[in-house]
Amino acid sequence: MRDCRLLLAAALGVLGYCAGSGDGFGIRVVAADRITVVVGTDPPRLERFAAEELARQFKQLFACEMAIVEAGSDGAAVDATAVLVGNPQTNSEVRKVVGDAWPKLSDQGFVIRSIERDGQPVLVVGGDRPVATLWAAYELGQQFGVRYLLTGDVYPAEAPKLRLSGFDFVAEPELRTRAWQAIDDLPIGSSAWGLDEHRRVLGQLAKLKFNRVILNVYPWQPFVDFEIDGTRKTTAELFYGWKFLIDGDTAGRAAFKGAHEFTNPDLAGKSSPAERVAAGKLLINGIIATAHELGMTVGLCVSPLEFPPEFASLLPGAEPCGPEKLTVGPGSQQIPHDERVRQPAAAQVQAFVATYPQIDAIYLSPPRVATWTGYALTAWERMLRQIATERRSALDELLDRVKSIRAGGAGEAAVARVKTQLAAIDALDRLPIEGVLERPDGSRREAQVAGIDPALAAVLARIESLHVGMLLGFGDSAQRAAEVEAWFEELPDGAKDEAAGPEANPKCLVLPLAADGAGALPQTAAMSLQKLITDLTKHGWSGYAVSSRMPGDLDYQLQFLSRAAWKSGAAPDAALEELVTPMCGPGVTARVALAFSQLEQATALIDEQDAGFAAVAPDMVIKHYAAAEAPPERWQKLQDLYVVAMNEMYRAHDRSHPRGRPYLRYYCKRLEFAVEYVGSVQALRRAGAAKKSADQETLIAELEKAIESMYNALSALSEVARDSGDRGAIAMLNAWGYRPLQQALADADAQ
Amino acid sequence: MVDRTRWRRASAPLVSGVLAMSCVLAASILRAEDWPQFRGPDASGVSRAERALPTEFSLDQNLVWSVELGPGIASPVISGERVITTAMTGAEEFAVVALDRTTGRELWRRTLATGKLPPITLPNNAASSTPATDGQRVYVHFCTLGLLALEIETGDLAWQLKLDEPQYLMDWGAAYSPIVYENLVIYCQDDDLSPFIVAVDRQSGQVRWRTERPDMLAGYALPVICDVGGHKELIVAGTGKLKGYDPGSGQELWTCNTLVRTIMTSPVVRDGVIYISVQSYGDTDRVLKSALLEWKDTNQDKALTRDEVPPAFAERFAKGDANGDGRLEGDEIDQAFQAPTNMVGGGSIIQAIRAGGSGDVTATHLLWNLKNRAPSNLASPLLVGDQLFVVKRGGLASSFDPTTGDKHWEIKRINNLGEYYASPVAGDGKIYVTGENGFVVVLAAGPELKVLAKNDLGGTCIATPAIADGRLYFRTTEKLLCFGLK
Repeated sequence: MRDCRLLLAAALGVLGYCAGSGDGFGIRVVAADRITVVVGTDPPRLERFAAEELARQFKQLFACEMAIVEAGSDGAAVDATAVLVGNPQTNSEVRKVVGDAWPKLSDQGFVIRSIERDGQPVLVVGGDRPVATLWAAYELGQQFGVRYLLTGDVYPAEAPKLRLSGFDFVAEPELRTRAWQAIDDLPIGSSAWGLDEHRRVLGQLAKLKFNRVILNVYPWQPFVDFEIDGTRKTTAELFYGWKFLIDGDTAGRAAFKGAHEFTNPDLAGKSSPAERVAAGKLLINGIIATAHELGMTVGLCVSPLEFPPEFASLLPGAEPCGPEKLTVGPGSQQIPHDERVRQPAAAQVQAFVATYPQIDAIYLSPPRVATWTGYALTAWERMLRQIATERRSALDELLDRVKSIRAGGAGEAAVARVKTQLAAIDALDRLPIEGVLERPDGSRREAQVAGIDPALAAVLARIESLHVGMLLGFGDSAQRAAEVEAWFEELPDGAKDEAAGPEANPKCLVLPLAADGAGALPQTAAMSLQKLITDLTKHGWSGYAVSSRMPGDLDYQLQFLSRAAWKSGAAPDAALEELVTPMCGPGVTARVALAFSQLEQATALIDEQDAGFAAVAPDMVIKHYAAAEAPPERWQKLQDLYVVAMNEMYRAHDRSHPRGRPYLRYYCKRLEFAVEYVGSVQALRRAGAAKKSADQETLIAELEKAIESMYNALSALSEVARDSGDRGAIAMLNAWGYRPLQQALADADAQ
Repeated sequence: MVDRTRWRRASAPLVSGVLAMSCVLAASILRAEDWPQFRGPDASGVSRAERALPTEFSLDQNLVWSVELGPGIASPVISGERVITTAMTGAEEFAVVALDRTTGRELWRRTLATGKLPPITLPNNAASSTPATDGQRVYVHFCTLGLLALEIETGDLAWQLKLDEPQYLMDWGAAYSPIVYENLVIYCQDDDLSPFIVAVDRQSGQVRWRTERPDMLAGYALPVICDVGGHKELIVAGTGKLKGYDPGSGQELWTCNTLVRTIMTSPVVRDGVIYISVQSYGDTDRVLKSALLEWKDTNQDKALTRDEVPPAFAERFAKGDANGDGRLEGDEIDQAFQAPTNMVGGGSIIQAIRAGGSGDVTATHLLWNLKNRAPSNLASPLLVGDQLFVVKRGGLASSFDPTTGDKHWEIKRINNLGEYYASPVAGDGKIYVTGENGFVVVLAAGPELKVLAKNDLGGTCIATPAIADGRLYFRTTEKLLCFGLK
C-alpha cells in the first residue's frame, strides 16, 4: 500500500518533472493524502455516481482519503488536489476553471483535461451528458491501469503514480451504438443469469462504455402474459422447458455446490406458470432498471408472429414447431394482412410494451422457424411497388443469391428463411402498433427491424419511405460476417453529418462473438472483428450489438470493441497488450497473444469446416456416435491447436503477477475443457465406426475413453465456473453429453 | 481396548512410584484402534481392528455426524476420544480443531495467524499437513509457522519450531506430515531448495538431529518406520532414491537408487519389505530440466532467466550460470537445480525393496520392479492381505501379488471417473477408494476385483480417510464426516 503521508509542501517541491504534454506544464506526480472530488450543486444522479466511482478507484489505486463535495461548499474552493466532475452547466467549479474552453462535444463525447488552478493542476472529468461524464470517470480509471473484466475490476499489478497533470483527452465515439444482447433461449450464457449476475455484468459493460442493452425474449418464455380472444397464455418456460438435473454422478458437480437441479437462480423453486411469469417480469424489469441507472437505453427484441402452442387455434394452418414444439407461427399459406394474424401479433407487442413500459426501443423480428413460405411472392410484389422501378429486381434473383452465400447459411434453408421473412415483413408493416411507440412522457420509442437477412435488408433499404432502424446479422459467426463485405456496399451508408441529427435509419450490426457451431467451446475472432469494425465505421453504421453464448470468454474481444468504438484504427493486438500487461505484468502478453492466435485458428477451423461441430442441441454429442465413421484428421489438428493454446496460457499464468492469474487460469481451464471435449468426440467417432464394423472390443474401449474425456472436460470447466451461465453449460453437457455416452456404453455392454 | 477407569484405580496406591513411568507409558499407549497419523499407526492405511465397517453410506445413510470445518485437505487423526484435523479458517488463519469422536462436538480449536502465504498449486491447500499424535500432544506442520505441538487436552501451544519455509520451482506448496517415533517427532521436508529430515524431541521441541538431503528434489513421501528383524529403520522415498536411516540418529544407512524423479506417494512396509508406486511426469530421459523448460521458460527462448525462477533460487541460479550471462541454458539448468549425483528422469514404477543393508543396495535389494501404467502420481499404494492395490486417475485400479509383483488384475475401471488424490484405505475386508469427486468406491479386498458399493460424500474430497474403531472419517474440502454402522 502506498504511503501517502508525505507533507504536501515537500511533495510539491521535490517531485520530478517527467515529461511535458498537453497544455504546457509537465506531468507531475502528486503525493497527497487527500483528494477532493467536486461535483456540481445537486448534480445529476449519474454525475454523482461518476464521482463516487472515481473516488472509489482512486482510493484503491493510491490509498488516499477521498472526499466528495459539491461546488460552492467550503471544501470545494481551496483544496489543491482536486478532480472536478461534470460540465460547465452542471458544475460551477468546472465553469470557473474552464471558462469558454469547454470543447464542443456530442451527446456522447467527454473530456479529461488537466487545468491549472491557482498554480496547481486540477483535473476536469466530464461530458455534456451525465452518462458521458460517467464514461469519462471510467476512462480515467483505465488510464491509471484499472481493467474492466466482465467478472469485475482488476487493479494494476504495479501501483501507478497519482498525477492530475498531463491529461488532455477529448473522446468522441466512432460508433454511437454499443449494444449488449442478453437473454436468449438456451441454458448457457446470460439466459441462465439471475438479476444479480446481470447487474454485475451491466456494471462492467458501462465501464467499457456500452450504451444499450437488447433483450431477446420469446413468447413461450416467462416474461410476459397475455390473453387473446379468450385464450390465455399458459406456457412460461425457460430453456424450452428442458430440465437439467444434478444427480450424484454429474461430471463437474462441484460447480453446483450441492444443488440438485440447474436453473436460473431467480426462477428456482417457481413451479407454476404464474410464479415463473412473476419472477420473469421481476428479472426483466430489474435488468431494465439497472441499465437505465447506468445511462444505457434498453431495447426489447420480440418475435410477435410466433406464439406459444396454446394459441394454435387462432392461427389457421399453424403447426407447433421448434424445439419442444413450443412455437406456433402462421401456416405456410397464411395471408400476412389477415386480421387473424395482425390482431394477435399486435396484442403480443402491446402486452410486452405494457409489461415493460420503460423500454426505449422495440425490435420486431420475423419468426425464427422458417415455415411461412407460401406467401413470399405476393409479399415481394407488394414490397416492389414501394421501390422505384429502376431499382427493382426479381424474387428468384434474390433467392439465388441467398442460397449461395455461406454467411447466411446456404441452400434451401436460407431460401425458406428469406421467404418467411418476406411474409413477416409484410405482416409487421401492417401491424396496428403505432400506439405502442408512444411513451408515457410523450417521447417516441425507437422501432427497429431485427433478424432480417442482409440480402432482404438491402432490398428494404431501397424503400425510400421506410424509416426504420435495422439490427442485422451477416452470419452466425464473426468470421462469416467479415467475409461478406459486399453487404456494406449494398446497404446505404449511415448519416455521418452530425448536423443532420440522429440517423433516420440507423443500422447496427450483430457481432456474434462466438459462433453457434462451436457451442460451449472457447472461441475468439478478433481479426474478423477488426475487419467488421473498419467496415462499420467506413460505412457510417450506427454500431454493433454483441452476442455470445459464453460471456466469460469475452474480455479480450470486449476490450478491443470498446476501444475500437472510440478510436479509429484500433487493433486487437494493442487492445490485448492494454488489457493484459497492467493486470499481469511484463512478458505475459506475448504468451497470451500466442494462445489467442491458436484459439482463433481453432475457431476458424470449426467455422470453415465443421459449422455444427458443437452446436448446442440435445444430440450435440451423441450425433458423433451416430455418424459411424472415423474422425476426420482435421479434428486432431483442432485438438492440437487447443493444446498449444492451453500450454501457452499456462506459461502466461506462471509468469503473471498474482493479480492477473485468475483471468488467465480461467482460460487455462477453458482450453483444457476444449482439449478434452475434442478428445471425447474423436473417441466417440471411433466408437461409432467400431460399432458399425461390429468390433465390440474397440467399441467399448472408445466409448470408455469418450466418457472419461467428457468427464474431464466438465471437471475442468467446473474448476472455473463463475456464474450461472457456466453452470448451465456444465449441466447441459451432462444432460446432452456425459449421460448419453454412459447410456451408449451401457447399451453396448448389454450386447 | 484399555479400560482407563480400571487402570486409574489399580495404580492409585503406586502413583508416586510409577507416575513418571506411567506418564511415559500413557503418552505411548494409544487406544487399540486409534489412527494417530497419516494412514494410521503404521502408515499402512489398514485398520486392523475387528470391527464392522459400513459398505454403504451417504449423507442419508450410516452418517454418525457431520461438521463444517472450512477449507482443508489434511487427513483426520484419531486418538482417545478425539478426532483432530486442520482447516484454513481465514485468508491468513490456520486452525487445528479437536472434535469428540462420538458426537462430532467441537472440543477445542486453536487458531494461528499465518502471515502472507506463499503461492500454491491447486488442489493443494495450505492446510495440507496431516497431524500426528502420541495421545498427549498433536504435532502438525504449517509452511509459515514450522512444526507445532499442541496439548491434546486443550489445544494449547506446547512448543513451536520454526523451520525454513519450503520453496518450490513449480509453486506446488507444502504438504508434509510429521510422524511420531518413540520420543521423537520426525518430519521430512523435501523441497526444491534445501531438503532435509529433522527429528525433534516431542517433549521439549528441541532438535535432536537433522539430516540434509541435498540430492533430492521436491517430493511428498511420508517417512515410514520399518521393522527390520527387530530393529527399526526410517524409510524415506525421494527423487531417484529410497533411503533407510537410523531413526535415532538420522544417519543414512543405505540407499536404493531405483526410483524416479518426483515422488508424491508414500511407501508402505511389511515384514522388512518396502513397497512403493510412483508415476512421475515424463519418461526416463526427462530430467528436471525438461520440465523446467516446458513450464518455467515462459517466453520459450530455451533458457531460464532470473525472472522465470522463484527469487528463493537466486543463489542456485548464480551457481548454475557458469558463463555469467544471466541465463541458464542446457547443462547449466541441471547444475543449478538437480544434483549431478541424482540426474533421474520420470517414469512409472511399482517396486518392492528389501529394507536393511548398508551403503548402496541398488544392485541387491530390489526384489521386483514393474514399469507399467498402473501407478498414480499422488495416491499411495495399499498393502492389504495378499494384495498390493493402486488406483489412478479415471478410477483405474490394479492389484498385484506383493511377493512376486504378478498382477491380479491391471487397470480396470471401478466405475468412478475423475482424479484420485486420496490414498486408498482398508478395513473389515474392504478397500475404500475415494475420488476427488466425493464418491467412495468400496471394493472387496482380495485378488478378484469386486465392487461392493459406490457412495456419495456430497462434496469434493482430496484427503485420505481415516478408520478407527468401526468408524470411517472422511475430510471433504469443507466438512468432516463420520460414518459407521449403528
